[in-house]
Amino acid sequence: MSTTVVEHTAGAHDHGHAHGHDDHHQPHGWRRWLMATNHKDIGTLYLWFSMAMLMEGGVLALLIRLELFQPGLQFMQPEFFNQLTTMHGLIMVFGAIMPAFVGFANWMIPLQIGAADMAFARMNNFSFWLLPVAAIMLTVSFFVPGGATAAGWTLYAPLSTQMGPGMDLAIFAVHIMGASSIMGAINIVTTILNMRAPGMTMMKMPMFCWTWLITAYLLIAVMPVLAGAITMTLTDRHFGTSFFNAAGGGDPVLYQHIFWFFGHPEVYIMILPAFGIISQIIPAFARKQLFGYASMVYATASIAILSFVVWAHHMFTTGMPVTAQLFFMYATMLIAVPTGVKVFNWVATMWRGSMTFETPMLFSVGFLFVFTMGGFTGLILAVTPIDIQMQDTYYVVAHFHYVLVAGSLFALFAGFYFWAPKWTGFMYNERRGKIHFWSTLVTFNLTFFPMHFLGLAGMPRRYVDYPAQFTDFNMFISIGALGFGLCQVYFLFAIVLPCIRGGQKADAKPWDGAEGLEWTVPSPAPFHTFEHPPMVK
Amino acid sequence: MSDSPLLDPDARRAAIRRKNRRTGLILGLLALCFLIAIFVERLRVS
Repeated sequence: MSTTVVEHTAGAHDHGHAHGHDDHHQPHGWRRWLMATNHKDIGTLYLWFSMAMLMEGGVLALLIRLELFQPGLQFMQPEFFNQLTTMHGLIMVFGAIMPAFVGFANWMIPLQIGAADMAFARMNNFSFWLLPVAAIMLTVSFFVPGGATAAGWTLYAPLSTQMGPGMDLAIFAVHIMGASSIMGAINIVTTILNMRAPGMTMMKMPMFCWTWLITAYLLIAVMPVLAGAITMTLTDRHFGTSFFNAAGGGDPVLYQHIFWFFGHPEVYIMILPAFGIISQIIPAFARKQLFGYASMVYATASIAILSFVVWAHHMFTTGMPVTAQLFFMYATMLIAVPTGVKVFNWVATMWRGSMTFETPMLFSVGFLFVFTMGGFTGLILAVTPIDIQMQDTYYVVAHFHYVLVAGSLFALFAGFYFWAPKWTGFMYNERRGKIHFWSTLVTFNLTFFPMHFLGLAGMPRRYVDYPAQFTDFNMFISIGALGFGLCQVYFLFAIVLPCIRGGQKADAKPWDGAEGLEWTVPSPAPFHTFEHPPMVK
Repeated sequence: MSDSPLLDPDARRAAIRRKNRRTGLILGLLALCFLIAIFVERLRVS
């Protein structure tokens, strides 16, 4: 990274009188949140929303694991089990992970680039308040006739063209969440391009801003594609079209092509901001500049560009020409190169650094180890003949949970511990943070590592039952999942809430190796910051 | 905009607002183009 030489001209952030001034202009009560236009308030709303969705998605996951604790039908019918797997995926992807990163973006991007707020403050409010509406629609869909959609989070045709009204609710919810994401992305791109403090050139921006800039472009490109696909599904269901209906001349496989043209970039939408958070934390706790800043930027952009030309690796078993198989296999493998550059740079940043292992760094190093394992299994799945064997087995489930939980979620935890002192003004309890890290790391691996073996042995995903020889591993996994869930309840009640209520006061810059404009404002960050932009040299 | 510290604060804010509106409009149209493109492509295939 870049820059942190800041000239405090013209009341660069007005702290001297900021508190008194803020108190007069800060709205109170429910209006503060319903009509929020302040980026910090909206960031907080996003983070609380995603925490609620994480809990809801977690409960659904534990219901799945409860049923799979033993073979045979224990507690539920297969139809309901399929609803659980579908809604778990939709809620975690669109309700938990994506909004959490948007929450981080809202809180940190203006602070990191020295802007007073996001570019479109009222649109920002609208982007957020669409989300609870969509979440309610998704949740309510469990109670409509036929229950929630059970077509899998991918909403594949022809299942999705045949289901009950729960499917319509899911389509509308995904439309709404997509609209929210597009507006959020436009806001982020505009903020970063136009509102940087004087002197902060693009190549002086913090990596978190860079990764979010690239992610936001991805969102603008692919969310409309998803909207198109599910709109076609909707018209197939109700208006007599046959986009995906083979009987009417349509093609169900085309839905898969369109969906994964969105779906694969979506994977990077959920991981690139995580890379940004890790790129902020490792230099801070290694007390060194980030190794290879420019190469990190180019690697992020390369991953984003490559993400558009690999979608059919999700569809090897649908049948395609060998040339296409080879293209998508090699293109997918190529992504390992820029990803490897990033991992190399993080390790090189730590090399001979004066490292300390506070909780943000523990989660970052944990991320490096465990996310890289998910990356390797991704590389294995990229090989067409192996993928054809592993398609729709628990090996795939293990792979994407290593990427999305150990990748995205670990980075979100790391980011919380890193920036929570700035948000709340209080230090979290370090001992409890370490307990949270180690218990999460252990239970995560207890849950997801055995899934590799189940997948290799042929256990298919999205099935309510399994042959008796898989019982031991499944019991083991269910116990691990319960432990993992309890760790996150501990995180909420023993770490997040106490850190908001009080504790040891945080300095403006609680981490001595941290760099960036966000550490030049007091903790907690005042309601208004950088009303007069700082000069970055 | 990042390199225009010489503008007075009000002028700077107004200039940023104009530029934001323009950028937002372009990005919104870009998103719309992708939405239209996927329908056009599908209809062409059918």
